[in-house]
Amino acid sequence: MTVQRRSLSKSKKLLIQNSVLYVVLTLASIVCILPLFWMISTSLKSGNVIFEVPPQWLPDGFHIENYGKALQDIPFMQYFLNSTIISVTRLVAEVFVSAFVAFGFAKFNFPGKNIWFLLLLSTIMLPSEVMLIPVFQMFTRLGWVNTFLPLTVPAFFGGQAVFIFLLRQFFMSQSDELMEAAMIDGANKFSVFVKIYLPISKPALITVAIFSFQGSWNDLMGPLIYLNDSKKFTLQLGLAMFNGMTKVEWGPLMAASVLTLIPVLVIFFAAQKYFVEGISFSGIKG
Amino acid sequence: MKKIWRKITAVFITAAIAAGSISGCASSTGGASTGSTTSGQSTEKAKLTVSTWAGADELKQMQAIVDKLNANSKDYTLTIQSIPANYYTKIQAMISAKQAPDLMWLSQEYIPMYAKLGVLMDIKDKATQDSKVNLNNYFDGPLNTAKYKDKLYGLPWISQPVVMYYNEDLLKSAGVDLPSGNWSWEDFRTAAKKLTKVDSSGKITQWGTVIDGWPPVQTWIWAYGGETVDKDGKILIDSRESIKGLTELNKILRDNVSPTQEQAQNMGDADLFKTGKVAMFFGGAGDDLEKQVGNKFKVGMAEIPHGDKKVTFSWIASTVISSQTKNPDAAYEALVDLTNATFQWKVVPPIQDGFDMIPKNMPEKEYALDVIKKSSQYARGFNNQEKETEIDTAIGDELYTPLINGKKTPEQAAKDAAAKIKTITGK
Repeated sequence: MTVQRRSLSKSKKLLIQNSVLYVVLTLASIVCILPLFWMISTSLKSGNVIFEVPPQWLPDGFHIENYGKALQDIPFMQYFLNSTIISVTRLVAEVFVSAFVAFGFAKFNFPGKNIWFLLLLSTIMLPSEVMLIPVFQMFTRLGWVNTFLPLTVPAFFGGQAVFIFLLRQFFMSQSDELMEAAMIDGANKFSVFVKIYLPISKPALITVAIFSFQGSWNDLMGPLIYLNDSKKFTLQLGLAMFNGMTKVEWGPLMAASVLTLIPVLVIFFAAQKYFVEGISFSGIKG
Repeated sequence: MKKIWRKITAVFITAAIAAGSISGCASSTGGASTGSTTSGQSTEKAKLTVSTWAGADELKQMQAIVDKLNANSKDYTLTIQSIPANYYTKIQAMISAKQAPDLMWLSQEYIPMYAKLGVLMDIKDKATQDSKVNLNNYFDGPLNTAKYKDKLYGLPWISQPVVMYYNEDLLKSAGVDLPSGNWSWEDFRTAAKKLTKVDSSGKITQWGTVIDGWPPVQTWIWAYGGETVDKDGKILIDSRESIKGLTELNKILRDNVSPTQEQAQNMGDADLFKTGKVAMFFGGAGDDLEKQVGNKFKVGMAEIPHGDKKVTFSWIASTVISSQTKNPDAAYEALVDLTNATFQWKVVPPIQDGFDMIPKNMPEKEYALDVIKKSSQYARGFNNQEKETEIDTAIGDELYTPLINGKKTPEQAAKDAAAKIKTITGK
């Protein structure tokens, strides 16, 4: 009888705990989803109800014309293509090169290894504004301004320090015995990296890939500084163009933002399984 | 093993070629001008660029203007360079790499700074001798902002005086006479109090006006004969006249007729007016308020209230020529053509006979044509200094924000601002 009562009170306690947890999680989810909901809702509103006070959460009918305007006011498809070219090129380069460098730091000993790694990490702390003018001058002298080269080529030379750091942590957690066994069987270090460590790093690589894509896709400053010809603009620059001299076109801006968000969402959901694994392996937090 | 190496190498080369070819198909055209022209003996049209912060819709309209100019000019082909965000960051990066656009839009605050750095071309001699430019036709206020140390560095293309928009429905229902155009700041105070509504719980449901760091604090300082800084850089923000203006502003602020600065900035000052929460709002004469309000209520426009004199701040921008241009003559010709053509655009022009196009280009403003004309006559810009943006920030931090929030008296705020400006200018 006492045991029954105890287990009943235990299950009651669990129920209360779970209920509280779900309420808190539901509230947190609402807070996170609200801006997205507002963006989608606003993209379907007519101009004069966007800033109604109190806010009108649901659109006054479906003003699809905002989407039409978003596609027509800026060359949306051209910008979409430009963003895709830059983001995909960077993604390929950053994932492979970062893994390559990280593998070296994780699995090999060489003179000054820790100092080199520290130097690499210190670049994370360097604000991009400090580098803006000298780097711009360098690319100007190379004749690369107003091309995609300044936005893509640097990714082939070392990737991003933060990705290298994360992948190094991941590689360090993998057993050295795998490498030793493969080398006894005659594999060299590069083939060990490509044939053994890369395949088992899929979750970490996909996580880095998602972050790389998201970073490039949402980058405003890089394309703004290096691209002059509006035909070469990316979607982020296109979104900024809805901010006019005397008004902001909120409806079309929100519609264009929704359309711009879709590729990132698709990629995230397609790779969600690996992404969660990658976070738990490498300790990345979004 | 060799196969793997080959594969990896192939992947990299393919990626590099792809990046190169993609970039190649977009070969560089930006930056400073190309083409060769020597004055009067052009072999081909000079290729010039003009940078702008115009938005998507405006870019299309501007492109139509530029297309016409290009078709009519034998000397230049003008290309628009859109900089839709962080305009001055990009311009500064381009200038540092000697890639500045030949022509640039500059807001009034930046002209002395850029002129001092030597990156702007002086056009005074050319403009005074040019029959296509009538400097006497410009209002003094806007033209003065394009001058620096007795030189002329550009031609203003827009001068938007600050006017007072009001919600006619709210004024009528509160029994407030519509502004006559001759309101003093005291009349404004009386109206703002009547237009501020409080519900039974003591919560304000409607404000008479909104002052949240806008309009510029100079609106009151100038109205009572004061200045923040004179043309020569002498600090006058703590002068008797300036403090008189600040005291008048402080009276309005202490009446609780405006939302708090935090409320106004969170909700958007113009949006508060558009949604009928604020009855009287200070905005640029060309602002798109009437269209955005639509049929929700009737929008009215009046001249800004006066103090000892009538004066209003004007948002002014000029087109300037980069001293880095390789085609100064063609760039000057393009500047004049573009400026003259812009007066026909949907902007409030900085010239005295430029108002005829307003009813055609902005029919929603036709009702207020007289107000815009009158306001333009006494509208002015700042006495811009080389470090104007820093001075503006100091005035905001040391004077305007503390005054709005009731943290300082007008005298103390003026004294603190004067001290801060002194550290900036060294004068």
